[in-house]
Amino acid sequence: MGDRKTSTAKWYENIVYIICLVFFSIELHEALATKPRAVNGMQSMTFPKVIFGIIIVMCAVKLLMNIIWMIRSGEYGFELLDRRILISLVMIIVYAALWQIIGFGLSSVIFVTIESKLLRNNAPWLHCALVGLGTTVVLYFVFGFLFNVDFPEPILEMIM
Amino acid sequence: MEFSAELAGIASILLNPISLLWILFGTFVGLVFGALPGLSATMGVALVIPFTFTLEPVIAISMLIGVYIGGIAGGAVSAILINIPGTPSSVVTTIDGYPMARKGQAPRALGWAAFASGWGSIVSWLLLITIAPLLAKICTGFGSPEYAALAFFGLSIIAAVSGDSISKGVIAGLVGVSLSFCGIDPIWGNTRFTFGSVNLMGGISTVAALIGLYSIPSILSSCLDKDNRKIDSKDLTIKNIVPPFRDQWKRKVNIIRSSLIGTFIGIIPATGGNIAAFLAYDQAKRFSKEPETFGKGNPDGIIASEASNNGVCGGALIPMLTLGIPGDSVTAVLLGGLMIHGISPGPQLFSENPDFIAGIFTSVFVATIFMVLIQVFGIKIFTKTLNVPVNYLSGILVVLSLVGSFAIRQNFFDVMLTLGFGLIGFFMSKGGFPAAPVVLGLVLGSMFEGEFRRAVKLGGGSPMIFLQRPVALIIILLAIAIIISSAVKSRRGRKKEA
Amino acid sequence: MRKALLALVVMLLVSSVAFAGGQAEGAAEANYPTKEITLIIPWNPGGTNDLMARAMQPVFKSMYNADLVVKNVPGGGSAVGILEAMNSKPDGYTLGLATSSFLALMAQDMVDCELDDALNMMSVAEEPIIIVVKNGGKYDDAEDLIEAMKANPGQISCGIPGTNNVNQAYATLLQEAVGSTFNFMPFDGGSRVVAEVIGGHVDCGALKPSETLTQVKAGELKIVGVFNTDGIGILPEVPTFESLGYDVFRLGNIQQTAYLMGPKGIDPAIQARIIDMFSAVCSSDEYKEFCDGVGIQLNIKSGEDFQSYINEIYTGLEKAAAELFV
Repeated sequence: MGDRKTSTAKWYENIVYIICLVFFSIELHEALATKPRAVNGMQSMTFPKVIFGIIIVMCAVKLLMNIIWMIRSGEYGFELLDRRILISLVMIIVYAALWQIIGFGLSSVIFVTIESKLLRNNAPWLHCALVGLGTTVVLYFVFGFLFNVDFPEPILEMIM
Repeated sequence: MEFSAELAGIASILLNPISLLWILFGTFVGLVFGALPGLSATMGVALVIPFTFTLEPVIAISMLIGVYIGGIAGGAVSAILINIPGTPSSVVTTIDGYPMARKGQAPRALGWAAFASGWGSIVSWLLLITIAPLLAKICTGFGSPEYAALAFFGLSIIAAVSGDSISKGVIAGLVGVSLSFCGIDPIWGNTRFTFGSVNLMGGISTVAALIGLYSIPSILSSCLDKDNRKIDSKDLTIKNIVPPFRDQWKRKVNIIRSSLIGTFIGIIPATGGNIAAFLAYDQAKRFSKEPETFGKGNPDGIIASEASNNGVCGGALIPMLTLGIPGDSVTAVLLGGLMIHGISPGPQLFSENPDFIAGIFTSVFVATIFMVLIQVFGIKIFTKTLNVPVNYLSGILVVLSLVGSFAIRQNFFDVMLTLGFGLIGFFMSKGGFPAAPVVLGLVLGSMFEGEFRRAVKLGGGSPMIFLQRPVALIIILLAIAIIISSAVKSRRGRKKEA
Repeated sequence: MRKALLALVVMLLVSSVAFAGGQAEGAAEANYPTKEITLIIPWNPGGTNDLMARAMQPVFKSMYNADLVVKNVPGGGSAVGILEAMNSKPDGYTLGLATSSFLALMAQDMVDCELDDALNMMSVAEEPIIIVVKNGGKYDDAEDLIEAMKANPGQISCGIPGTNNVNQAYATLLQEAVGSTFNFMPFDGGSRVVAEVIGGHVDCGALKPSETLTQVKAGELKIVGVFNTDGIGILPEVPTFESLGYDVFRLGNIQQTAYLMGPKGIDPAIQARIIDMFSAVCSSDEYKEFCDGVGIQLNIKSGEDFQSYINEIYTGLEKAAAELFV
């Protein structure tokens, strides 16, 4: 009944439940810590407390059910993600961080180039670089020039 | 005498190539804004206003209406092709549009979206020109209790957009609702759950959240796929794009029902295309003979979403023109455009400037026709994006998504928000959680809470006020009926499986 | 495909050259403005302040041949946008249009800054707070409304756009002067309050003339009174609450003002130039006509005048935060 694919999905589900449990426990704590106002009418935190409570209970129950399922079926397997997806995920985060350090233009060219090469090893470097450059220029033109979006460019600003 | 003034108004649009050109331009700009994630129809109209200063008022407003209609329709393009809703109104279009595109039917899906948008716009236009003053009463008839009931009704359809597992859908919906608490308390004005950040004082940006929830997971899960089957120019004939009129006729009930839902939601202020689309989708699925095919590429899903969100356009113009109260966020800007041109809306506008009103009504129709035409011919170009090799497309889409979330208000915080949602969204999609309920919860959660508390306050601290308001009561009872029927259905479904 | 790529590369080169050229001119005060000026509007497009800025654009262009770019940075009751303007580069090319709403946020310590942290340059407009009721509804004038309030304390609902702002301060001061209480109903935005009053869901609304002029002209709403000393310029028949015998200025003359601000450290010569330019734009006939049509009251003040004006509003709101907003 249990195969590795289902158990992998359950593991991801569990990650979501754990994130929710942690995050909403913090929020519930804040809701409980807030002093009620000395006024009539529904308090600011009444509704949030109810919703957070329901989420925490639901997530805990589902988490428990998943664990029981795993113990019963004896299937704990977890299919690791393809290495390239993991690297992409990290690269997206690094890329966004680079906006604030080396600027939008440069980081976009680098990101698209490396990402294109990473996902398909036989793609020639030159093509990847041209796609990176082209994407950046087009986006700069459409958003920056036509729609007046100021992209962060710390290096350019320093030179100026 | 008066009749000739109206004819003159109609002629000022239809027989004047310059005004036709401006409307065409406006519609085109709108489609571009709609299709690009992060740029909404609201921003499109606001950015175009300066270009209209030198134009005659009728032409100026007609052009802005073109941007509006194009902007709402354009969201479907990116929703279908790359699973990233271009505007919040097209969130629901992704549910069936993207699966259809994955099956290689992208041109047809886009064709349905274009025509459904067109029909939605035409139906609401008919209502606008015939019984606008009557319908405007709906706008002022809605007080806090009715709003609260409507939001509750909207939340009750989480089950319909949840896909396979209702419990996961409910959790996703509640997460959306919880996130909507963040910001300034709607009644007392204190800040809640902002963790000391000024950027969170305005709440969590829906657009940033939906870009993160939709784009990042879908890019990551498809980045190692084989390239899409090349779409040949030969296959992109009008016949393959335009849905046969026989098929359109077959789906007339869905088209009209969705358009009417859109018009109705459009009339009610502070609601908009995304709520209309969710409601219409739920109804389409409920009345369908094959509800199990929804979410797997059923054109009826696209039709419901697109007909209703474009129905909102005509609907939202009704209170704007008759009362000067905007029906949604785009008409709020449009109203500003009217005022800058020295026109104040209201009943006196209808009696004193019948030519202006006739001109505006004509332009809604003209812009709709242009919108459908541009899309039908544009589809040949849009679908070519699918021919870009996947390894290049993935990187480009990541950049486009982050740029989109940055462009909302040029704030890096929104980019981080998008990434955060992207990460959670990735785990959620791997764990089989649907994304649509999160958006539904985020949009309706704050509306429900705020309006419910207001209603209770209006009732002197007692929820009994809901019993005294027949409209609110009926909506609530309908919502409860929907919840019970979905619960029963899901239990039956589970029994069948077992 | 190749041609397209080539075109892109050329475009990049051209744009980078143009960019460098733009920078070479430098920021000589005498030439100000040498490029477009960004005006941050801390609200969504479509509001009164957004309109004010957008109506300035063509006048600005025709008078100074310079572009005024409106940038909407909504969020946090105007805090996000104004803080961005405050922290921008002090070269005079990024300014913000703040309102009393931001002053109210500071007064309540909801944002982490003081009045002096920004360079507050000049006021542009002042919008008096008014009380509106449904025309032909239960109440005909202010006396009717106040009588009803005295008879049913806490029963008469008063819609306000947002919370803890100038609107609520005045409505609270009125109920104090009357010796009874309203049931305050905060809504998101003025147009929602208008719809609620027309629909008869709330009894009255504390709004601004620009938010209600359309409906007043259409005979849907009626203004029963205004919270200032001089009345409304375009609607002189509306009585002030002071003239009706209610003292609502206990905390000073708190007005809903819109003022131009920027980051600290802008060169004084450029500052003076900015004030000159905006004063000229706002006093132009074209702009005045727009303001009258929409119902915005111009109020151009700068220098000492402006500083004492804004200080009075700020201290008034600080007292209001301590005494009224509980």
